[in-house]
This record gives sequence, structure tokens and C-alpha cells, in this order.
Amino acid sequence: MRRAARRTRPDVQARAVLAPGVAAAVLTLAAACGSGEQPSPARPAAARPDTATLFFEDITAASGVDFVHDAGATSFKHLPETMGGGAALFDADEDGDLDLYLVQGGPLPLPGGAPDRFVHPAGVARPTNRLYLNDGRARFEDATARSGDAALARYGMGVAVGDANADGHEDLYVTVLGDDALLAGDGRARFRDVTAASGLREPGWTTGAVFLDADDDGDLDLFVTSYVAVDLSDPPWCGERREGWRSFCHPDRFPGGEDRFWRNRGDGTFEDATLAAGFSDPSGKGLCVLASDLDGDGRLDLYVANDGTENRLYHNLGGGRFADATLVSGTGVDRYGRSEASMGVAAGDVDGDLDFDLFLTGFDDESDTLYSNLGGLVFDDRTVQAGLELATRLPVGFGCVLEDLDLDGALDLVIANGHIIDNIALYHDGQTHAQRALLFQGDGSGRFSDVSRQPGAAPAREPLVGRALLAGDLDGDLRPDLVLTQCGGPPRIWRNLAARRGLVVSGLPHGARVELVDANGRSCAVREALPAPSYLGSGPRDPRFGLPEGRRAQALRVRVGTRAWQTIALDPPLAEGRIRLQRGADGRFELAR
Amino acid sequence: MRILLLLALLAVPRAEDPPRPSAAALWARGARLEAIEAARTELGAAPTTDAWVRLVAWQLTARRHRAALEDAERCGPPCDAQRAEALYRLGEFERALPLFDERDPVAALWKIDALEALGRFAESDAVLERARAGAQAGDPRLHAADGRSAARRGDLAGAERAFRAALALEPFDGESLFGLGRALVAAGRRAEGLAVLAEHRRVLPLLDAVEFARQGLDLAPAHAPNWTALGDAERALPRLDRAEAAYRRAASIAHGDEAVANALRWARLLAEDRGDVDAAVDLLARTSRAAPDARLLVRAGDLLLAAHRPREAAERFAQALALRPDDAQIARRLAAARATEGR
Repeated sequence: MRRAARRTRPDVQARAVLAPGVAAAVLTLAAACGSGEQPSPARPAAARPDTATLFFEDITAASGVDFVHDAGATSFKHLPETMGGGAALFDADEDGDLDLYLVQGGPLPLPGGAPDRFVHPAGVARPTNRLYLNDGRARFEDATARSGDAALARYGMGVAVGDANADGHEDLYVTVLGDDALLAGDGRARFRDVTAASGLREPGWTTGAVFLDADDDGDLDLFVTSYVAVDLSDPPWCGERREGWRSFCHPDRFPGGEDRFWRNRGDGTFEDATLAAGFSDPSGKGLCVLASDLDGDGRLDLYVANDGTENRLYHNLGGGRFADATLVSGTGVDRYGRSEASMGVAAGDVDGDLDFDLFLTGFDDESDTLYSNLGGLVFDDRTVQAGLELATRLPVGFGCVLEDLDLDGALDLVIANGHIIDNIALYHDGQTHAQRALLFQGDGSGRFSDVSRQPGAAPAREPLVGRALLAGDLDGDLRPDLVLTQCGGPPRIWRNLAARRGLVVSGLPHGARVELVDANGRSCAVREALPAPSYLGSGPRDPRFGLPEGRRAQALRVRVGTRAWQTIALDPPLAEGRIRLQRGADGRFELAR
Repeated sequence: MRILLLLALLAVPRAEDPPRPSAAALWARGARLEAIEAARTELGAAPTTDAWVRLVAWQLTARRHRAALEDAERCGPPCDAQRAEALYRLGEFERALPLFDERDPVAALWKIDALEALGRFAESDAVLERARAGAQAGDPRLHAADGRSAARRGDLAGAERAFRAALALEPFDGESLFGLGRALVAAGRRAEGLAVLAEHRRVLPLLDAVEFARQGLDLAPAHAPNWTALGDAERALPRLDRAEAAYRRAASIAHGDEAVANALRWARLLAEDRGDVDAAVDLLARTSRAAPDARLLVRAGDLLLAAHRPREAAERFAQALALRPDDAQIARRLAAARATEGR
């Protein structure tokens, strides 16, 4: 049964659930924090109540988002035409809600005189990336015209969000088929291109990007993936040589590009520290990169999804150095030892053991993959056991989110699907270009049920050429909504009509880890204050939780980098609401007044 | 009178339309879609079981899985095995299960995979047990499935045995290399396991290249460069016998530049990997007779010179120079060969 969402502002919502006197919250420090010990994980969530369902409604038309991605389709079937554009959900104007930035393609750039070099001629009119400002109720106004250099007019790929220059405002790093751009934000939805001054230089075909404090020095470094080297002046013919049958070439036809790690010098300028940091995968074909503390040592590790080559897991050793831990992790390939065409990636604790599992989307005739984190950077392919094998075998998966959408304490999964070959039906009569998304309801123990055909599964209703997929509370009702981008088409936005509301924690620094502590004093859920990349994207950074019926969180445990854990009591305990943290004079976290 | 004239005209034999190629001929040429249409026409004229089976098989090869399923259903029980494959390819595992013929090793593997994908591990293990007891006991893929099953049960020693048995039959089985490495790491034999996983990492792109080449052949089996590409991929592993078989197949259908490129690669295998310079030189000579090309002669000359046979090398270089008189590189080679001969 659908329930009308209460469209309140987040701060009003918080006041409605916090008891008087909470402004004078007392900090308590659990004895366990000083020793670095962690409480034992709570038991996995109990069986879901029947009232917990995934329920969405399509609000695209009412949202005001009138963007249409232009893939720049040509008769030459250049591979970039298949990629689609990324998206970011972040607070561009710092008014407390999530704004939307959409990356545009447009006419392909000109060949730049060498493979993997591209030229965007000046003075040529082309569509730009677009910035939409949220009114707090999921109604968006196109603010591109006054956004300054955020109206980037290049053949864009993806976007990463982070405060690169540490001025307190979010910045954007846009990957491009050609020169990438670092856009410094001013907190008022205006951005300035500072690429040249930053020292960043990525002229090839870049795709995924992520900001992270790799060396725990308080500033944000940057990791950028490169896909393949294509020569637009010499496109090979792939597919049957007959009218209408030309197809896109397999990425195996092209050499991989080298991913790059850029260390922040502390002043917003960057230096190429790829080799010095221990990264080396010259044959990789990177489409997505995710940062997460996969071994719980307080340092953010990196996971790169490669298309058709081995994925890579880089273990953060500290001091800005990484080691390739792919082999021992088992996450480079699927359970058959085969490389996959990996496109999107998500991290989340699907089985309630307080570590981050990995989910990866893949191509047709190969399932998407769930890697269960066994600890010590060892993972196991549990796709079949999770119930995710069958439904994901045929579609081509791109963006994905692990999010507690029904706010019952267990992560759910949504996958944006869509083939890359627009005439695939000529070659494979079991495939279509546009494909339905998939929705899975998690039970908290690592198992999922396919609910794509249920009445409330609006995102799965219509075949789309899905690419990026982001989850975030667009209307301030503490329920994560969904945004999906399409290759060569308009995005889709769905409002979440779940019966429950969630708990959102804001004010955490980039990369912080936060756990909910239940009434028994045990950590029952874990999140990281990191933008989920999905595919070419950047989700909201504030951690979001759901709680099972009848449960309340009595405290938060927070850890920044390798520093000691800190426990913040919630008085009274909360089942839903927004928790704002701030640093006190002593540098410790406290509830914001 | 006019009627008689008309009848006379009708009685005069006209020039015959050229005969349409048969479905089999079209398929042999690699014209898959045309072959399927021709097969359907021939089926209409003579709806035999063989004609149905052939049509469905071709649909499957051309990835027309839905069409294959429809045709298999029309065909009935003689096409049950193919109906199973079509359903499997379309991801309809539950419907495919009862149709798999376990006596067919490939179908048995599909059934195992389908049951695993459905999470019905006990049943997949039972099929595996029956397959191992049958004629396909020596199939490395079954050993790999055995290893996977053992690992799933936590029987690491059993997994190691199974994967090693697979690798004894096929040293470059990617699944078994990966599975063995993972089992060793899980058993605490980390260094040993990582060494195996490093080997898996080395061969993985090479196996992908083989797979990519095979997919190219699926689409265009009559395109010689696709066979050459398969030969290159197999050589890189190295699986030399398979590489040579691919090069040989390419040579049988290649012409002109394609033949030259293929011969150069095959000759390299013979000389460098087999150590058989004579065989390499003979191959280059045979190809050159059919498709005269200076590159073939120069390669032969280089091989002979490296084998300390300068007189024969000089002969090849001289022949190459006759084809490309202005080529300074060939002239230098000839001079070097003669100088070596003179010592």
C-alpha cells in the first residue's frame, strides 16, 4: 500500500525526532575505543517483516530535470559512443539538500594526432554538462548558466566529488575523452576550472575517478582510471560488412590505458605519484574505481573494475604506498578464474559482519559478481549463494548501488542495465539494447531476492539504456531515492516510498567510518563517508542507515583514518532522523547544536 | 497462327538461372545468415529430421537462440538436445534441466553449471559424479568442476587433488589454475598458492585472446586471418599443436597477403618453438611459390643465416632482391650472407 511521503526539510525532521536536551549531549568514550578494540558484530538482521517492501514512483517529469545525454552517435560506431555519462549527487549550494550534476557527451572530439589524444576545438557549439539545484523536495532548477565552468563543454565521461583544495567547498573532477577538468566549487553552485594550476593532466580517455586521503595527511588525493586507447581517425570495422550491421568493436581490439594516482601536495595542487605509490597496471582497461577500507585497518584501499582484464585490488600500506593484493583477494576474476567485463562497482556490508563486501556488474553471458569479504583482504565469490547469479547473467550491467532502500537494516541492491551495442538484436536474438534494471531485496545475511517484478519496482518497469545509478535522499524524507542516467537518452528519477525512514549522519570528514551501536551495545551496521562511484558517478557522501522494526541506535562509533575510535551517545536512542556531527574545540566529534 | 507462335516460343528452352548455392555451400563459405535462410527453404521442400536438426544447430551457432528454440520446439523430440542448449543460452535453466542428455559431455557440463547457478549444489554434485563415472572421466573440465565442488564444501585437499588432475590433462586450464591457487592459499600454503595464482595471471590474457579469436571464427570461419589470430593466441600460451592446426587451417583458405602473414607466423613457430629450421624454410618456400613475396624469402634467408647456412641464405636473399631490386635492406642482407660464406 502506498503511503504519501511527508515532504519535510531535513532539519525539521531531525527536531521532530530528537528529544529536548539533546543539544547538550554528553560525550562518552567507551573503554573499547582507547584500546582500538571493536565490539563483536551483532547477529545478522532477523527475517524481514512482510511490511518491508521496495516501493518507488517515477518523478522524472515532475523533477524539472530536462537533460538528454547525447552519445554523439556516428556511423563509425566509435567505442566512446557506448559509454553514457556519469552523474553526481552532492550539495553544490550548501543549502542542505542534494543537487544533481549530469555529465554530457555531444559530438565526438576530433582526433588529436595520435591514438588516445583528442581535441575539442574552441568555438564549436556543443552541449554542456548540467547542474540542477534541488529545492529540497526533489524539484530541480537548471542552474548551469550561472555555474561557471561546471558548464563544461567536452565529451564527458564521469565525475568525482571532493574538497580538493580544502576550502570547505565541494569540487568536481570531470573525466573526459580528452582533457579532464578540476572544477573548484565556491559553495554557491559556482565552479572555476583550476586544472592548469592544479598540476593535473589527463589528456587520454579517462573514466572513473575517486578522491581519497590515501596517505592520511588530511588532504584528498585523486585516483583516475583510464580505459583504452582509441584512434578516432582510424576506426576499425567490426561486425558483418553489410548495411546496418556495423557494430562496436570489443575493447580487446584496443590497448589499455594506464590508471594514475595523483598525490595532493596539501595546497590543492597535485603530483603524479603513480609509480611511487606502487600502482602499475599498464594493460588495465579501467571503468570504475572505488575507495573503501576493505581490511578494517583504517586506511582506504582501492578497487579498480577493468573491462575484460583482471580487476585490481590495491591494499593501502600507509604513507601513500599501495600493494597489489589482487591475487590473494580473489577479486580479480570470477569464481571460474575468468576475467569479466566489469563496469560498475559498489561496496557494502551485505552479510552483517561489519566489513565491506564488493559487488561488480558485468557483460552479457556472464553474471554480475558478489565478493564476500572474509577478512584479511580475502574474498569469496558468493554470487550464487546470494541468489544473484541467474537474473544477472543475460543483461549488461553498469551502475549499481548497495543501499538499504526499505530501511529495514539490510542492504538492498539495484543494477542499471543496458547493452552497449544498439543493433545487438541482429547478432544475438536473445538480447536487446534497452534492458530493465534489476532490484534485489537483501535479508542482511548475504542473500537477496529478486523483486524486480513486484508492483513497487518502478525502476525495473521500463527497458532503458542504463548507465550511472545513484542513491540519495532527494526530497528530504530520509528515504534514499534513485537517479539513473542513460546512454543517449534522458535520466530517470524515482522517489522512494518505503514505509520506514532512515538515519543520516552528516558532518563526517571524507572517508570516515561510522558504525551504529544498538541497545545491546553492539555495532549493528557500518558505513563509510564516501561517495559511491557506481559507474562514472559520485553518490552522496553522508552515511545512511536503516534499522529493523523496533530497533534504535543508542550510539555512533566513528573512526577517521587510523585514529582511535570515538563513541558518541545518542540520547535518546534514534530509529530515524538526521544526526549532525561537528568537531569540538578539542577536535573530537560531538552532536551539532 | 498467333497461338501456335506463342506455344512455340514457350517451348523454346530459355537460358537457365544460375543454380542457387546450397545451404551447406553457403555455410561452408561462412555466409551464415544466408545459409540459415537457405536451410529453412530446403527444410520446407524436404522436412526431414536431419534438416530440422541442421537448421536448429546453425541457429544456435549464429546466436539466434530464440529462433533456435522456436524451431527446436517445432522439430520435436529429435531436437530436444538443441532445445536444451537454446534454453540454457537464454538463461531459462529450470526448463532446460530435464532436456539435458548427460551422456553428452558438453550437455553434462551445462547441466552442472545450470544446477550450480540455481544453487542446487547437491544435484549438481550428483550429475558430476555420474559424469565422472562415464566416458568423459578424462575431461579436465569435469575435474575442474569437481574441484569447485570440493572447495565449496570446504574440502581443500580434495579441491587441490581435483584441480591438479585437471591441470595434468590441460596445463593451461584457467579455472583450475585459479582454483588450485585459491585452495592452497585457503589451506595456509600462501606462497605456494600465490605462485600458482601468478601463473594464472600470466595465462589469463592469453586465454582471453584464444577466446576472442574463437569468437571471431564463430562469426567468420572462412576468414583466414581469424585462424591466424587463433594460431597466434595458442602459440602465446604456448599450445603449439593447436597453434599449428590453426595456422594450417588458415593456410588452406588464405590468399595473397593473408597467406604471407600466416606463413610468417607459422614459420616463426617452427623455427623458434620447434627448433625446426628446415620445416620453417620449406613452409616459406611453399607459400612463396603460390604467392611470391619478398618477405617470405627474406625470412627464410634470416633463418638460414642464423643456422650458419650462409650459402642457402644468400640464395634466398638474391631471390628476394629480384622481387624488390631497390630494397637496400635486402641488399645488405645478401652482402652479409656472402661475406659470411666467404669466410
